[in-house]
Amino acid sequence: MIQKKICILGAAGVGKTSLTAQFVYSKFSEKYLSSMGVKIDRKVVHVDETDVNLMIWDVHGEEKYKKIPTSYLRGASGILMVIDGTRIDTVAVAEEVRQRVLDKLGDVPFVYLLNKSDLQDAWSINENIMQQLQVTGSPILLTSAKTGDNVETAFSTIAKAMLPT
Amino acid sequence: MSANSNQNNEAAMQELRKLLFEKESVRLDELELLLRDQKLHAQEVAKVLAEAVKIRNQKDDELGKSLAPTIEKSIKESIAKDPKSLSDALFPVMGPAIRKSINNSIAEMLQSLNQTLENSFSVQGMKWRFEAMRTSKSFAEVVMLNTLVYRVEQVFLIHKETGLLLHHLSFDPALNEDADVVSSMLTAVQDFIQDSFAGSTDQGIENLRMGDLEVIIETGPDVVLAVVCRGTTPRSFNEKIQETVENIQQLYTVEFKEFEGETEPFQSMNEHLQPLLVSDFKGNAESDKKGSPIKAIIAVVLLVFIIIGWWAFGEIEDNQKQDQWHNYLQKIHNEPGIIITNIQQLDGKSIISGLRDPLSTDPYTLLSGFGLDGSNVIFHMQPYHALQEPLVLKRVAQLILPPKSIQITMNNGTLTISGVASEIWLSQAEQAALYIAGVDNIDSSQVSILTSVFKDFPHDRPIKLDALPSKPKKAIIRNKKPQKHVVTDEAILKRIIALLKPPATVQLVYSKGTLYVSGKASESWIEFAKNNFSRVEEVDSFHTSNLSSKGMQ
Repeated sequence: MIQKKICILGAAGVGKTSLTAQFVYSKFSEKYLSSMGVKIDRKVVHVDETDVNLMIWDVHGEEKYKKIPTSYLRGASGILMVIDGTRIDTVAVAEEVRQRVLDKLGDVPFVYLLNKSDLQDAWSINENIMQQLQVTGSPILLTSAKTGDNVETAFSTIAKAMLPT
Repeated sequence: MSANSNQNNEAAMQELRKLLFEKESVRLDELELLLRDQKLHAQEVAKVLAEAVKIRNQKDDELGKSLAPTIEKSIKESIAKDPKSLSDALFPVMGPAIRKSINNSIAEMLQSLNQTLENSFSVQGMKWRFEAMRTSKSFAEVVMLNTLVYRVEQVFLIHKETGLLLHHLSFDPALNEDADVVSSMLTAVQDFIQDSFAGSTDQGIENLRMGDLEVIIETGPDVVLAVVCRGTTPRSFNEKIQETVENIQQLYTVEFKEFEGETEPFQSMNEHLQPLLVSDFKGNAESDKKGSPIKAIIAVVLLVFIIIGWWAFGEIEDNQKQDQWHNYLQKIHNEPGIIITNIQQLDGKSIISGLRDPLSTDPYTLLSGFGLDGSNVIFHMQPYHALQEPLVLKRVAQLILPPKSIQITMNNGTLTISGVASEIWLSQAEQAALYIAGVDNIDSSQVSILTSVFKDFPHDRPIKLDALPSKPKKAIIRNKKPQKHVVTDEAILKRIIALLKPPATVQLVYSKGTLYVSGKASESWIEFAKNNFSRVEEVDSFHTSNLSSKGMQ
């Protein structure tokens, strides 16, 4: 079986942990996240007749005075970049983190997850921002940790992006 | 005409062929030769053989497989023909292998001996037996729980860059499930600690400890080996882990660099990691600490001493035996009448040959005096007459039977007789002694002649002179007039009493040849006295007028 390390990143409170919680095997409780700044879960996805064992590093959210430790990024083969669809400021944070990842890891596959898609009333991502994200060439998915919408797809998309074509 | 033209045509065709295909024809001949000539064939194959083997080996293992039976057969034949050449070739390999195997066996033996000594008879052992009885566990289980020093529970081989698990071993299969997550988390913890405390230096965690659980982490350039142990591991175990990492790093450098998440190539890690999955118990750990299994060494040393002692005792005993034998031989060599001509050793027995005078001391009886076993000595002795004086003297004594009152000695061939003897015995003795070889002269001048006290003295064992050969001419030194022995009345009376043994009721008085008997005596004694008194030479008459037999039985 192929194993891959991925990191799930984004601003604080975008729903990273919620996205993984219901869909992955959790051995460790969330207290690790607050203490160590990372919690690792496992998810096996089936892509193109290959089972991929994803080791998901759920790193704490980026905050102004609490940057994501780059040592946790080392060796990652893909990044799930989470943006809160109801908070426009989280896009800028994602962009900032993306730059840091590219500096550290070079060109690795990204998948953008515009989370909280169930909250259509508060949705604040406009066409401009969508175009801005599409420029990066990375896939963009609307997800909802609450309804489970596109969550499985999110993991299989990043898995597919990491496998050699 | 037509035939002629045909022939011409044929010749022309031949010519034409020759002109057109001469080169090809030569080449064809060469090729044909190459195919038919085995020797050339072999030469051609030889040119490419090494290259062909190389190419085939790179392609697959078939060549090795097909050659194996042939090689086995050749080795068998080589051994059958001359085992020495192969054993010479294998010598550098066999020596260390055998040494290693022997060392291992001895180490194991010492260890088990030590443990057995430790557990079987100690107070601790009894305690454990009691505990086993009380808790209804097996004795072995109790010993294990009490003596477990450390046990390696899990081994993680982790890719350093990604934190992904390359290989995992565990004493409990249930632990395998979460190994990949644990592996990543362990990497995260390392990163966390490094970020928090070590700053930018490249030093990682080497050891994590919680109670009796310890995680030993050894980091190589591309891999991290994390070993989870319960208990205290010896220092040597850390070295073992280090060696394993170095080994793995060296063997799999390429695979590590090219790692893309595929763990398949690392399944063969088992053989490197399995030796780490060990456990150790108190007995072994203690001996490890002390550096030597002291009890076993003492036991072995004692054993060696006993063996040496036993051997030395045997040696001493042998030496003693040899000394005893030597002394014995010395003794019989000095013994008169024994001549040793040969001593042989045969089947653990000593055979002594020589000559022996029958009157000499029997050498066999002397053996026990020297602590020697008579059953191991055989005597082949021929009889002879020795002329040594002690033996001559013995021979004389055997022949002349000297009474107690006579002493005989030998000196330079002269037999000296002294003491008191009757005339008749002396003359017989003098004559008889001369027949003994070794007696040159007889000196009896010291003999006091006793005019016979008892008329038949000393004739209980008369000398048979007629059995002797004609009388040899030898000198007899003798007093011309034999001295008269002066006898008092008192002495005569003593002899009479000794002869007649009178009862207490009888009084005897001797005076001038007459014995006066008075008192009371039985008829039979009176009769005996009458018949026998004359045996005392001095008594001529016997008076019994005052003797009565009245009232006596």
